[in-house]
Amino acid sequence: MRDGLTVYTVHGQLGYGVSRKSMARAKEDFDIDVLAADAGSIDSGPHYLGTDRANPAEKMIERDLRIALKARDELDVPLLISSVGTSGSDAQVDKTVDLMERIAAEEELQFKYSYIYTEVDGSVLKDAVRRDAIRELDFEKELSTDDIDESDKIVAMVDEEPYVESLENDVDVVIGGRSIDVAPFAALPIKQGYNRGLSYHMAKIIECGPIGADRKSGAKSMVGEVADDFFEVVPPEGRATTESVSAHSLYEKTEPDTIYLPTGEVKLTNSKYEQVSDRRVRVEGSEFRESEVTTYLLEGVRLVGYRTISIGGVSGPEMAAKIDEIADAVEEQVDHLMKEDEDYHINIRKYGHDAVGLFDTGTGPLTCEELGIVIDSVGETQKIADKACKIAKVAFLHHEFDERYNTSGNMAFPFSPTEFSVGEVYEFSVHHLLEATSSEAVYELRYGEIDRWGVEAG
Amino acid sequence: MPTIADVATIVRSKNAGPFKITFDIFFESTDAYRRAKKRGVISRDSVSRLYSVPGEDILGIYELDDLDAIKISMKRPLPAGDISDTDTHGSQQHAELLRIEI
Repeated sequence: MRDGLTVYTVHGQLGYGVSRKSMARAKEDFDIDVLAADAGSIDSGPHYLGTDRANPAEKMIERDLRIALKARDELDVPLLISSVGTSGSDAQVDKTVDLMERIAAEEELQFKYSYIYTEVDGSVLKDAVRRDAIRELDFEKELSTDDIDESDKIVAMVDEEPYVESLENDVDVVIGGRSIDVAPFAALPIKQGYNRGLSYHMAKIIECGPIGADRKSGAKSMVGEVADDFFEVVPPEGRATTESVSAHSLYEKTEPDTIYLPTGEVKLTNSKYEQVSDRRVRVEGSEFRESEVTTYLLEGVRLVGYRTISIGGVSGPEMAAKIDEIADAVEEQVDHLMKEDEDYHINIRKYGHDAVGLFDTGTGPLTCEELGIVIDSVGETQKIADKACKIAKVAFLHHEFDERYNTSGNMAFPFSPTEFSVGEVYEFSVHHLLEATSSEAVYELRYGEIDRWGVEAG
Repeated sequence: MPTIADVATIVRSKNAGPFKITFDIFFESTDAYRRAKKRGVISRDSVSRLYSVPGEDILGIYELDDLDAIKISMKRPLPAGDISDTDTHGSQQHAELLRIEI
């Protein structure tokens, strides 16, 4: 029986502050075989893919990447990072590779690397639509060629395949575009022939870092150890419990017992969780079922306009009592003053009343006197959004109503200026499955090397 | 009358992708979980009424005996990032569940 393989999660989300202490502890207590991190998320919404901007601060991304690269050098193990720059766009891959090269020069590191582009051209998708190779997920509509044409950018979520290929070519650092979150964690185990069900399930638990651990135990990162018939998870500090690990399997998933992957699914129906020490949990029984066709999830975004907002507050029961009437009157006034050909959308968000709920559950009687108001204006151009917002703000400020006492103005502005251009607004235009005939259609893998005399492109 | 708020340790909501939202209720004891199950307080019907959604928008309601937990998954009324979105992560939609009488 083999020794087993140890995967260390550098951080649940690269750029949010790798714990140096936790990493030092991990280096000491474990025989780490690979360092992995997921740097992306769709949680943050379509904006990041649309604008090629990362969610974490640039300096934080640099800090975390530097810590990871130095640790990799010290341990001489591979470092795999997926979905760089939040969206995993090609531009973010390039940016991250540049950053990596700069850090390598500053820290005098040498290594072989690879990078994975995962943006997909519209023509590839149109071709797929023609041969009926696009599937929609629950509640989503069929993908049309218009959706594809209107999309500014589309990425495919690749699986561990390009990471495994990189490892087979003796690469030390992999900078991945958009990938499934388990890819960098499952790559080495799968390459070494460990059971796929166990590898993927372990990856799913540890990819979020300490979230699979007991939340009150002070865990900062996570270690996964895979063996032939089971895997174990344990944080370098704090503890994992059977409750924390099995509860984490529910997080952000619609179904409790299935992990969907491009090449199949992992069934957790027969998974057994055992507390083997007060800190460590063993899992066995997770089964991978290969599907006949490989399907990749595609994420695409389209620009829908530009946003401008104004933030203010109202205080006083007479304001709160009439807030819906005031908001309606404001929208009417904006409609009256905007031109026919100016395409805009205005939304008065009333915090303290009905601004948070996504569902139409109705609200009880207003019990608070103070409300937060966000005037949200989206327009075809930034200028149109600005105009609609400014008209709304003035209309709100001076709206006359029956029970009005305060004739000075209906809004308390915390800031000067009173409106802010937020910028581009994107929506998801593609969120469909692509049945791939060959993986060359969805990713492009490239190699490079850093040596003492500077960077040589591969 | 006690509500879910009185017998649950975790009641959370979160997006599962941009088009779906999932809720998890972890009960404080196996007893409380079994009582909730027995009384059928969380059903397709009750959830549909509570969140004002048609039954077919509810993907599934899962009873997890090993965890003393119930999961509810459904369609998001608006996709995440829609210009009228109120909660891009879907993480503050749990309040209705807290009020369920048990």
